[in-house]
Amino acid sequence: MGLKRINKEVIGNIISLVLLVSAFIVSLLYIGKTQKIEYDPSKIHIRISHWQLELGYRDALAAVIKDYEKLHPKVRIHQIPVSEQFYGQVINTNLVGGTAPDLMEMGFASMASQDQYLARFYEPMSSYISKPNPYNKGTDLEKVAWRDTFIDGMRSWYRDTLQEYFGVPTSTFTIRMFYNKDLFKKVTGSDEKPKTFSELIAKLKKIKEYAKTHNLDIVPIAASKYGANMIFTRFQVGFFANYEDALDIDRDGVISGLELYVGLKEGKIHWNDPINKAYFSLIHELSQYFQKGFMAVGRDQRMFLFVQGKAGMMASGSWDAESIFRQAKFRVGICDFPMPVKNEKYGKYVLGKLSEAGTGTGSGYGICRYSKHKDIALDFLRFLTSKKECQKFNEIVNWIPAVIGTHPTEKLRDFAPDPKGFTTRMNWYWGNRTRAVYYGALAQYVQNEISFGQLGKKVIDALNDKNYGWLASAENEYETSYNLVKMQDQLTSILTSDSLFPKLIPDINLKLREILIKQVRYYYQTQGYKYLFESKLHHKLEVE
Amino acid sequence: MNRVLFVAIIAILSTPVFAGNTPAKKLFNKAWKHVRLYEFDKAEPIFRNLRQREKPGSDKWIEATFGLAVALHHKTPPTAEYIKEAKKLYQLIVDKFPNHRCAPRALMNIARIYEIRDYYKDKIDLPAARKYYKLIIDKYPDNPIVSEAVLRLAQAYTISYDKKDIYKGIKILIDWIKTHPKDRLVGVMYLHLGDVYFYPLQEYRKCVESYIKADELRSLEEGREGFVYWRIAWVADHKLHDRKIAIKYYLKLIVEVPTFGKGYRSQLALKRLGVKNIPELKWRPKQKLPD
Repeated sequence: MGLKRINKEVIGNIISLVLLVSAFIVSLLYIGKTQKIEYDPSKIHIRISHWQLELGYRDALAAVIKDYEKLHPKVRIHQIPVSEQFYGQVINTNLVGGTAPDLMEMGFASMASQDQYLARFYEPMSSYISKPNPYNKGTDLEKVAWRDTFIDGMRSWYRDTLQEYFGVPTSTFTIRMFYNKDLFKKVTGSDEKPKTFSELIAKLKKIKEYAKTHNLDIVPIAASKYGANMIFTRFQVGFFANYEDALDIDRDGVISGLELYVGLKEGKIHWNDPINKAYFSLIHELSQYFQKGFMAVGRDQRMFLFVQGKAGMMASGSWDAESIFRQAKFRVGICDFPMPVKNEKYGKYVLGKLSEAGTGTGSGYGICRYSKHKDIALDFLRFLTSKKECQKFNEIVNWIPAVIGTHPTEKLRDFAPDPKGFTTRMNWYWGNRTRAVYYGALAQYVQNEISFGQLGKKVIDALNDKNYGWLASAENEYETSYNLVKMQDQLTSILTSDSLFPKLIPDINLKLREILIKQVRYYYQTQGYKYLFESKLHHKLEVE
Repeated sequence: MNRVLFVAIIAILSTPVFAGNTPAKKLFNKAWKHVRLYEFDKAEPIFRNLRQREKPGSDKWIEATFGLAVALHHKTPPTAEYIKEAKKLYQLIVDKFPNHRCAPRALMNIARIYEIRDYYKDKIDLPAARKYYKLIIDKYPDNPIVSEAVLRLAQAYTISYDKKDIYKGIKILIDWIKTHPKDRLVGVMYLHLGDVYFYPLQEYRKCVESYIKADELRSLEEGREGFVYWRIAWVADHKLHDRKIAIKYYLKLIVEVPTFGKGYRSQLALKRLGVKNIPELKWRPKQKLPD
């Protein structure tokens, strides 16, 4: 009996061992086979790394890679997706260790975003992007410089300090309000998008009443700290554009902290101005339809609330669209932020909506300066951002393509950037410290903890505070600008030295002229800032 | 015999020609590469080493001296000692080798040291900077660097934002433009004149005329033309009441730089000015409107 049991145990162990060894051998063979297929030595291997784990992104990139490999059978492109949390560490350590991927998505890592690292680790793109993209042959962009085939002319990719471009974009992003069409229909009788602010409020009011009457856990708008400020900013420009003619001294289309403060001192604007009052009243009214305690809610929780059908609306960017479409069990509608129109409450204080003409481009890739196959990496980037492939790529991921003449999918049509509207920005803060005060007090105000007057007092007191208000902010801004002047001088020195000795930088004379234009202008503006401050605020602005 | 041949080969290979030149070339390349990558601290010891190895006064020695000065000039964090040594080295090139191709640039870099605050508590010395810019203009009238020196000299006056000085700066630029209308930096000079006339002088007619000339000479900041177009259009419309110029530049804001963000306001302005067939605001490949 005992012997039989021992024999059974031994046989069992032998079988387990055989299975284990077999599994190990099969794994080894499989790894070897995969290695052979994936890293076939007869092919050129390119690695492309990114942090986009949103649904659809990897499929989209894989589809473009497949097309490219078909066209170039000798090339094999490997996609390396890394989560947001680890992207920085992966990129930084690989760059330092000399094992960085050939193509890297720019951002989310200090070494993929800060000037000093860009200059060192990434291929400067100026000389490539000034020539047409060969993959646009046969299209209306055939003879257009690669740079100018993007809707922003790659403006968002230009590094003023380095006077260079270090990446090429693929997509562009806008912000809209998502809404639950089924809930809208059920509660308001219509699933049409609200076109004006009054219509919006009417719908939100009905949802609030419906939830109360039926004792349901539904909120009109799912908000968070991040989402709330997104909404507030969208409404702000329409009101504050009224101040541009009076406050924008240098006519650059932006009311800076200094210009706001000068305006305050000269009595051109005051907190209780009807336009200002109207704006804050509007965002206060709107905030009453957010869920309680929204300022403590994170981005993901807000989205969770919406896709679970527990909110009528939610503001977010086009980057979240596909995830929302896939997760929501209801029909999703998209609308722009409905502005008050004439004859409506607030209407007489609103000039119009926010313009998206200046919408930048994003989700771009840079080429590793030390890549062994820079030419192939560059060629793949050209392919990815050609009119045809960029359209295809963005169609699959359901993002908005960055190339002129392409278009978002039907589902994303409402996300298409709209250039009509105003761009004047103005904030009731000047510098980081007053910014913190402003946002802290704003959170209290929209949650009914303080009044409009109390909010104003906090904001104005912060601006007037000599220790961290106007003077400290001006000193900071001036110092930052002056450092940029100094950096531009460094760049001039590098270029002029190169033109005298190693002569390795291409198009040197053109670059020298460009940096001179920038430097002369920027230096003059920096000193103009000092002059404006001293002449208007009667205080010396010195930095050491 | 073989031993003699071996010794001879060793002796030849030991001469400075073989021992020094190839590595020196590599070292120069390495040092300049560090400069290109903003790694001035890494470039400095290499240039220092090369300066010791090369024959004083030779072209390579001057190159090493200039490279060392550049590295010290821009090494971070900057200190008074680095700047002092950089200035001394630039000055050495200027005094001892005034005909070397880098001498005018060495003078320019000294002027920049005087004009820009380089380190903590560094004092800006505008009169000294002006003196050096003037020196370049006087000593090297035929060198291409001279127009940059003129522009820098003028700016060393305008940035004081003192009216008397500003007009001195303006005069320098206007005189130069008159005598050198084809100079490569004339457009940049017009752009600076436009900025100065706009603020603080508020001489709007001259401001607009200068900006337009800069635009015609394609001397606006690439990708930031919208800022100047908006200024021209706004000033022409609201200060000069010059309908023709205002219309022209509002149109440019819509067609040439639609991404600047003032296209819609331009459309409204054109409507107010009675313009028919206002162009649509849309993204399109970059284009220039006919003048």
